[in-house]
Amino acid sequence: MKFRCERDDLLGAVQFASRAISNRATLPVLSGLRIEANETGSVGVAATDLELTMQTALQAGVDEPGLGVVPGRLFNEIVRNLGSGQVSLASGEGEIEIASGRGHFRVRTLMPDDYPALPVEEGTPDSISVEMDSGVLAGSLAQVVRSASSDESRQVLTGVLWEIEPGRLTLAATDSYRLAVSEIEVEGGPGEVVKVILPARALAELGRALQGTGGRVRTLVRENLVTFFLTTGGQEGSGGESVIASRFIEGEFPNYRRLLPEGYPNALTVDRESLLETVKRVGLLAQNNLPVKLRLAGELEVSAHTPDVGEGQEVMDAEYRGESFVIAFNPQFLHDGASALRTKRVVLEAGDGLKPALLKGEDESTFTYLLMPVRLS
Amino acid sequence: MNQEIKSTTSSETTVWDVLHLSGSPHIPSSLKVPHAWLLLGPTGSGKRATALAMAAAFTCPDLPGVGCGVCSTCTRIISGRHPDLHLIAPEGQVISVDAIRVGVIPEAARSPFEGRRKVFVIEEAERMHPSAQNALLKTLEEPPEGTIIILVCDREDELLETVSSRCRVVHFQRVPCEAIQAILEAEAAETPVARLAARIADGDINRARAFALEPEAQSRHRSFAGVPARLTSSLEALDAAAEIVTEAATAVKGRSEAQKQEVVDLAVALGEGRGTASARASLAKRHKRELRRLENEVLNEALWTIGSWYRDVLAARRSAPDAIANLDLKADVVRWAAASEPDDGLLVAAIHRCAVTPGALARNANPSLAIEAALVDLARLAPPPPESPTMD
Amino acid sequence: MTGAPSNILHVDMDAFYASVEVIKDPSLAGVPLIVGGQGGRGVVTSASYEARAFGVTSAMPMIRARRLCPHAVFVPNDFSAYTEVSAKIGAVFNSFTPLVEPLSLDEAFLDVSGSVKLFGHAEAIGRRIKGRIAELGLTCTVGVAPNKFLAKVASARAKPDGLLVIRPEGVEAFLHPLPVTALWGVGAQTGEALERLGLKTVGDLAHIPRRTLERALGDALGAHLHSLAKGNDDRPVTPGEAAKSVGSEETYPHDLDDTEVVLREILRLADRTAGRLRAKGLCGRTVTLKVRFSNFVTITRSRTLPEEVDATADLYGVTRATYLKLDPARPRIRLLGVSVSGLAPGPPARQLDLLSTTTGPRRQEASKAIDSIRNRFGERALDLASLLDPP
Repeated sequence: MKFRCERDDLLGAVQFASRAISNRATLPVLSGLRIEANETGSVGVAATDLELTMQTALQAGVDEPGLGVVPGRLFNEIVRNLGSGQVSLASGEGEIEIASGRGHFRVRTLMPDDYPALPVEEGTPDSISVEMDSGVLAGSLAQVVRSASSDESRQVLTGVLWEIEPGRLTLAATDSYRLAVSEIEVEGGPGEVVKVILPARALAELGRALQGTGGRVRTLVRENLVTFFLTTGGQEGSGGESVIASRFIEGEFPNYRRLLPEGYPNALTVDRESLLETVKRVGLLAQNNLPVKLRLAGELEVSAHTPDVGEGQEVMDAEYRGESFVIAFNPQFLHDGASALRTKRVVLEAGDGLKPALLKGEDESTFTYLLMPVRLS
Repeated sequence: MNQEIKSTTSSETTVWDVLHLSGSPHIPSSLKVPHAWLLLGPTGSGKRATALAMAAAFTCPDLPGVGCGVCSTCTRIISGRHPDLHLIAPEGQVISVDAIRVGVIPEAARSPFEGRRKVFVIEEAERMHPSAQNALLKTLEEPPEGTIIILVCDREDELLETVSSRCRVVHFQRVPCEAIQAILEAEAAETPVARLAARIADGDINRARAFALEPEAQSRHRSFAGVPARLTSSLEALDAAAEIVTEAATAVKGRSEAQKQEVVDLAVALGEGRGTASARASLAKRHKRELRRLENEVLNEALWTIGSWYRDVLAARRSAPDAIANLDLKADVVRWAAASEPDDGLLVAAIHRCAVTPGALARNANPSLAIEAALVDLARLAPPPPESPTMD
Repeated sequence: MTGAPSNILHVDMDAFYASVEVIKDPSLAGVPLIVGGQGGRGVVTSASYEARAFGVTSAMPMIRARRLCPHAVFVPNDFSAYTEVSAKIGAVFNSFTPLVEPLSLDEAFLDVSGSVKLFGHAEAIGRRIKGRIAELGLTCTVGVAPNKFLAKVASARAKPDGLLVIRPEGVEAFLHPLPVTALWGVGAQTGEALERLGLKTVGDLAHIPRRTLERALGDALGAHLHSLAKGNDDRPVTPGEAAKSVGSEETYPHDLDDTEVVLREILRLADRTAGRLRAKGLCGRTVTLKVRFSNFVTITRSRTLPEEVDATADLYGVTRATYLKLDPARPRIRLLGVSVSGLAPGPPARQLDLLSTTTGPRRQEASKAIDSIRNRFGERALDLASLLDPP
């Protein structure tokens, strides 16, 4: 393998793919970056931690097509510290040579034969394809990913459910204490509803990669994985699409629609920013996983008490319909829900102190957050 | 070996040939194969190699259901470096529940990375802690799509019934002497060495391979086989025990040198920086446990070899010289047999003493004390006859 | 040899649970009475002296006790009654000195150094305590000595209903004729090892140079026994410990050397501790594991959780992880203990669950159900699945 390219292009590609570098001791080759130079003048840079695969390409003058796996972190550091300008790379027996200006580096490489086959090629005709705005998808992921569980004993809950139907994609995640559901519009889609569960960790990376790209995302659902093709809006000089792929989590996601209550008698409407600030302040006195208490009435009284530490209380303006009562929540969960919303005012609907409460935007229905209260001792 | 898995028809080279398992398997290529297998049989009867061959057969794209043995998928499976092959082995004495919770359950819940199936091979499955077995149960019962679990196990009685009853059981026998010899010769061992290795290994292909291919193993064997002749008193027994323990320590030292290279390789791959510490720590932990295990293995080898000496003497006394395993020491065996006390019961007791001590070691007994106690007993049970030859 | 005055008391109730049962049902007085779990795996927790005459001892499997003394009256444990009476006994102790260190429901150390001016010398205090306890319908044995170790040995020698005073000048005469097994920390195994060395009595032990003992038994045990044989023990009486934590510990007749067995014992102790917490209506945040190895090295490791807990699964989860982190290469464990401190009134506040399966209120209900079954049928009536030894 031998090619020349611009340092800035190489750095962009290396930094993109490096996010999927893995530190597993069992398959050390995964700590490398897989670099493949093609006759067409494009150089692919890829990494995978098996959960998440990230690949992108850059334009280069390819003198000799070929494949090499370089130690990821070190290579990233070297490229980052090179000056702008042309870089040339050439691989030899068990090593790679990097030359830039008057600098010269030789680095031991890893075994390319050990590298797993990357799942980045095009799908088969029966693969399902939908397309959407990348900013919209990024926003929707930010709303739901945080609600996924980190409890490895319930694998299905560590993922986010994707329900794909013509013109619509619904994302849902729950850690069994709260449930977040977000809907977005898409182009295309299968004849009937297709459901897949994708690992939350991989989606968090996808969300980060999508941020500020401003282009479109094409999503391809295949037999054993989902591939996202990112067309980066207007980055000239790059060699083409970036690809992110993720495996599924197999299993049945809980029927979340059944959990959503229909019409509670009690509804509180408050300013979202004020709620966030109040919960954050009062929450300082709800330590050790203790809850904040909300007294729902014409005014909203938020209070917390930690034994041996102290207590806090704050009253907020609110509009309230229903009977006055107290409901307690984990302050972080409440804060997560309110911060995922985007409207000026939010509505909290509740049955009683033991039933799940519903948090949504005023006059807005694309995002719903269901939150289980804390039973007081 | 086993009739269910292999047959002898194909003329093409397959993974079964590559792994010296000869013949091609009856693994159905449809997804309707049993998803849980239990390969059961004595140490060194080819279970692990068969498990790898099965994994290749399940995933090989070129020769599905058989495994071509030469494609990228097969070669990476054979070397244990395929993303859809998950090898779980004891770290130290047990496979902990965390090994199952981290290594099996989340991976089983994911779709395969490359192909349509993912294979979990759990080596020394009998060392799974009962809580680990319980953690595995649900996955065994309702495996996620495309999941195949192969348990490799020496002793079924350590497995919970709920585990073994959910598996298709395949029984393995000790590998016949001639077969071992043929395999070793195919792996480039000289015929006389291969022949001796096959004899002393008693159907254990791993032990035979170590003997045939590692000079250290041969020198250890000579030294261990000479132990019985030295057991003239308790004091001599203590000396011999100390030497055996030193042998184990030497082997451990050799391995720890090899481990240093692995640490360097990992360092090259990972580089410095955030997040690499846990991979380093995990490697260090594995190394430490490997060393502890290796120590036990050498001690077991010593006990086995010493036991084989008494077995040989017994064979010679019962006029069955063909059964003598230590071919290289046959003359000494015969001389001892002729000169020793006429009570075969004591020989049997000595053989038994050698056979039970590995169990104590496996239960974390202090190795020095366990070996000392065994050799002191042997010196009492079956001391060398007065006119027996002295070994060099 | 210690020069301190004999101001430490060890008060040990005689056949405590059995005696409480007699208070509850006076018709049981004078008959062989055996208290304990009545299930197939139950053990004797207490036996009246009439039953002990037949060889029944506490901690004996109930099945064996039934064989030894078939005509005895068998009664299940009633911990709430024992706890209640124990509180009254504690009040008696506290009326003589604030320095009371309860060891369990039925025994305690008292330091009366500051009380002799008020109540007379230590022996007199011992007699007054015996009198006050007799008013409750119970008997006890009191050991009076210069330190905790000697006081405990003294009470053991004076049972039942006795009082034995060891004065500083009489320590040697008292201690030296005793068998080595009377020393704290000498079980059957160490006893045999000592006997092989020709050491049968404490006096034999006291006359051996410390270095020799350390060489023969290992540094820790050797030094420990040497010090005890001289009658030395400088542990202070530490009051109020029991109120600040709830726990359970066990010394094993044979060292535990198998991780699996250790974890099972930890589970058993965690379960017992959780039951005690709930019985007292408490929960706590700091969970402590105590491990004493065969060389008497004792380590305690505490972890403070983000929220209070009172369930077996939580206590076991923490102590198990703590133990596995210690990761002793070849464990030889003599004692294990699980305790909870940082106590608060229970039950803990609980985040409710949308999909509600194993956590939340249901698990608390399960814990409650287990407690009520155990209260009715004895502590071993409902063991967690993995506590049951393989057949």
